[in-house]
Amino acid sequence: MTLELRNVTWRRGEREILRDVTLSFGRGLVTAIIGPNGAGKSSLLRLASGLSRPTGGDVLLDGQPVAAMSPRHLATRRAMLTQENETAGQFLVRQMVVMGAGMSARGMAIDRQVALADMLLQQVGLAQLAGRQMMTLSGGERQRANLARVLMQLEVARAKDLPAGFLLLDEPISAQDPAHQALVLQLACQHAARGGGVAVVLHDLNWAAACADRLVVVHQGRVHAYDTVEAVMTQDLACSIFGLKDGCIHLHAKTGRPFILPHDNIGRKANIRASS
Amino acid sequence: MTREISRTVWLFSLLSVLLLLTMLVALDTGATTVHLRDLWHPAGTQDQATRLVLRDIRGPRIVMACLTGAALAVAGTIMQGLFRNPLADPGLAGVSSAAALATACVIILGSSWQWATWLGMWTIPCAGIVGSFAGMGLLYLFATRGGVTSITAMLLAGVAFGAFSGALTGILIFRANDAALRDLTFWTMGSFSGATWRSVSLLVPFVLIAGALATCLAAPLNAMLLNEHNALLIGYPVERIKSLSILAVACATGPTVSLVGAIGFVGVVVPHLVRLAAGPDHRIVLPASAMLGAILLTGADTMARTLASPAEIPVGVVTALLGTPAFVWLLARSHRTDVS
Repeated sequence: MTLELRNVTWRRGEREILRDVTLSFGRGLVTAIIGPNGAGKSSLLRLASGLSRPTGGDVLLDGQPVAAMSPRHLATRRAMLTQENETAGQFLVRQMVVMGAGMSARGMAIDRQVALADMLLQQVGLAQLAGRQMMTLSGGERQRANLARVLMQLEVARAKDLPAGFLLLDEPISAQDPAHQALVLQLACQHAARGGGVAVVLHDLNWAAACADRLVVVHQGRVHAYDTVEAVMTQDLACSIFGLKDGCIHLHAKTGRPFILPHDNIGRKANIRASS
Repeated sequence: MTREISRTVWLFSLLSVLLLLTMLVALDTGATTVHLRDLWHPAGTQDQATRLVLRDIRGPRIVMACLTGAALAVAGTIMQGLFRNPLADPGLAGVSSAAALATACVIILGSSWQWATWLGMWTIPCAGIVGSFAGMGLLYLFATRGGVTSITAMLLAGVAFGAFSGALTGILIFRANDAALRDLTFWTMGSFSGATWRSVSLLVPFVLIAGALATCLAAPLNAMLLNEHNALLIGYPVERIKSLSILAVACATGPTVSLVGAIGFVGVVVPHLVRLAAGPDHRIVLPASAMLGAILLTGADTMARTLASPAEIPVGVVTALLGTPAFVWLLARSHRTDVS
């Protein structure tokens, strides 16, 4: 039971964004997608979600081609938090989260939907802002309200006894402070623990190493590596893909997971600044 | 949530009462001293003038004003939801300008066309309807590539198309005779003076289609406010929503513009006024806009035919006179919100 990309290629005009990508996101697992800016991470997630159609290859959800599924059917199987979430209109936070139920909400009483929305707002730490207008929230609060909207879609499907869906998150912690970064990723892990699949694009390699079961490294439109965190997060990867210096990979004393401390680069920049 | 429901109930109750009152005042007021109470006479005892004025002159005119106001306000609401732009207006989609061009063609060149004599009094409305649908169809085809319609391309092409058809209308006006020019000028300013039960019956099917489409589009238009991608992700068929929205706008705007002329500001101002009171939910904004549009246009028409009585001011002039300050106020308000 997977979300699978098979030999997927995606072009926009003359430009090849992704080339011959084959990988699968499993249920019960958190897969973090990492890579430099412009590598094709968000494009990979868009193709996996069905937002864009590949120019070559197939995207399969539980064995069925995503391209052949109706938007309504697909909405019960996966939800995605994109980076573009500006809402037009002066919606209240609770209203916006309820709207996340979308087409899947048909047949569900509005009171039940509101109760689910309130529960999710509680989970993302915005319970007290449920009655506020979206446009009055800070960037980080808006991002978490949108996460609640996306989780609402999966909760409604779950309430209808459908199998746990896939949660696709594109840079969900980019506007969060450290405590809320942990909260957001904890929610993603909880979804995986309840049998759902999670694919999350992250720029913070340490969070990726800390929370993921699998790491996908995307570089120049190709999958450079796809394996466990320990197998992927190596000194060689840090140097060749992310341009970091030797000795930046360490092992966490408690978890044993690798983490990156790019002190050399910071030191070098500090010296440059001091000498200038 | 309970507070929101009770606010909605209050809003619709208020609008219903206002609509009824406006219609009664419109029926009671006019150049001829015929009053509503005359209808209370037992059947058969009403004189012919009363029946003529109330049933055949003011009656269709009020129904026409209500239908037009509702249709234009609904078209404006749909346009603003679809374009995610609070200042979008049915005129932006090229419907009004295409209808104006087609109407100008018929008024100025039509006397030499055989089919124009066959259609008789329906020539101008039919030309306007065909023109508006053709204009919107052209824009839709232009903005659609590979099954995906670009709303931005449609908006920009609509503005360009409006300017181009305005220029063509200008050329036609340049070669028009005095009578044709007078007809065209009167049509351009909009008026319900030609409303009859027959013209109402021509408009009704289009308004019903637009109303049915708007009912189906209310929830999807809410999702479109999240942006197109998010609407698709939560299960809405975005491309179908766009094409149905465009069809609804064409059905609501084309025939009304063709029958009563270009009436500005209702489409852009009414949805705003409703949103101020009821929030952004299209399931409330669409029906409430229809009611408020009907109220405002019926009221404007009553003013148009009574302010300079027995002469009539074109209703487009009244809506523009009332609408312009309201529009400027909205612009200033949205600017203040953007800055703060």
